[in-house]
Amino acid sequence: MNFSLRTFLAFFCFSSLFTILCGFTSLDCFDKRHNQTNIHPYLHNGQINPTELNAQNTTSTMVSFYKGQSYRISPSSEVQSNVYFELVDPETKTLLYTSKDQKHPHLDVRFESSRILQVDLKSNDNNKDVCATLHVGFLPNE
Amino acid sequence: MYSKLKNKVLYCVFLCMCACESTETQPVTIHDTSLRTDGDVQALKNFFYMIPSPMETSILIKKTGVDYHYDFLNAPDNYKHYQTTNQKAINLGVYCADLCYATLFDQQQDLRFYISSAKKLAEDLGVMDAFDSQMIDRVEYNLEERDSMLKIVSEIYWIADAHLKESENATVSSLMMYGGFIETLYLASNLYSLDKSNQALAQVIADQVYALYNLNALLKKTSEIDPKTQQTVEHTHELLEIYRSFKTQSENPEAVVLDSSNQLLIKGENQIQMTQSDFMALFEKIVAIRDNIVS
Repeated sequence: MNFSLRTFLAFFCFSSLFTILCGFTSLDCFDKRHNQTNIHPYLHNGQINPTELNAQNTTSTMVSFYKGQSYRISPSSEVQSNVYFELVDPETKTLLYTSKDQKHPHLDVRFESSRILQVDLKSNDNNKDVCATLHVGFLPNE
Repeated sequence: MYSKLKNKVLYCVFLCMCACESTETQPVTIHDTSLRTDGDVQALKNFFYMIPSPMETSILIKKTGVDYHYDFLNAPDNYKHYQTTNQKAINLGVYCADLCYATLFDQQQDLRFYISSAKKLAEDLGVMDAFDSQMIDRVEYNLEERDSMLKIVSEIYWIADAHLKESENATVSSLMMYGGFIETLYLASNLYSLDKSNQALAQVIADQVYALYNLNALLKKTSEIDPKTQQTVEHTHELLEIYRSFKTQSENPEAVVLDSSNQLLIKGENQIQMTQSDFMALFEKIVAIRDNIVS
């Protein structure tokens, strides 16, 4: 009985500690907002979701875009080459664009119609976790 | 300390729920956001939702040729009536939207009022960074430079959102976006009611369904953490129901590289037509929701 209780308590403590550590690890990324210089001269849309990425972990962001508006999509990380993004049609899952191995880390994009697209943020680094953020900006004067 | 740890654990649970739940079916262009398979690996994903900032939508509204109407905005001294954290968060978004509108029309006096009201709510919410003395100095110095002001006001919104998420207060951030969205749609609808021949503005209003879809999904996640925000889910759901009656026609997107400068054009028509009866139903609902949140 004592053994069971001790085992249970040990398991409970371990689980709690793991959960809290997970929380701290995720939230560490919030301290690393990274710069938005790649967005200039576009205006930032005001939302960031810093996240931790690794080879198995992808972040998907559903972004709504307006017809006729020009946007810049730019990922940022401690090491820029560590991350890339993919533009996906969420309905058909068609890959529309990948920034992997592209000359520019960011993409300037216009839309013939307003729509929602999925932007997947991915890591190139197989060896370690990286903090990354997706930035979306728009051109104010068109 | 305990509260901080609790917040971190709740946030962790929130992220897990974002990762695990697939989004339900909806009309227009989005039907399924289930996970996409890369090779043999089914990636573990975190889902986020981004909606256009009030500045972005206000710029589109201004482009349709509308005028400035102060009487449609929330009175700057109404901030005194907002007692709860959720009321303050929603109305911080409302004031940010009004601030964007006043900035675009070079209404310097109104801009000062809205900065002041937003600052008071932000202070109560612990988002002082967005309205620190350096930022206020920049506002005063650049008041007559519209392009600089657009940048500064966008930055205020960005800093407020980043600060809220950094301090594990994603609920307040979501509510701020909700307030900003409702105020901007309310403003656009009122302006359209003055001139129903403005087809460009009708299109901007119809196109809000995409932002609304993302906002509704975001608020659903938020309400799982804070059930007190459930009303925002109901409001956005009611608006979505009205948008579902609009006539729509959609084509799949196709990406075309425009030139060597890495610019892409996403082709494919997504037509949403808003009839006058569609608009009246939407107008009635948005007025009721907006009156409810600013009163």
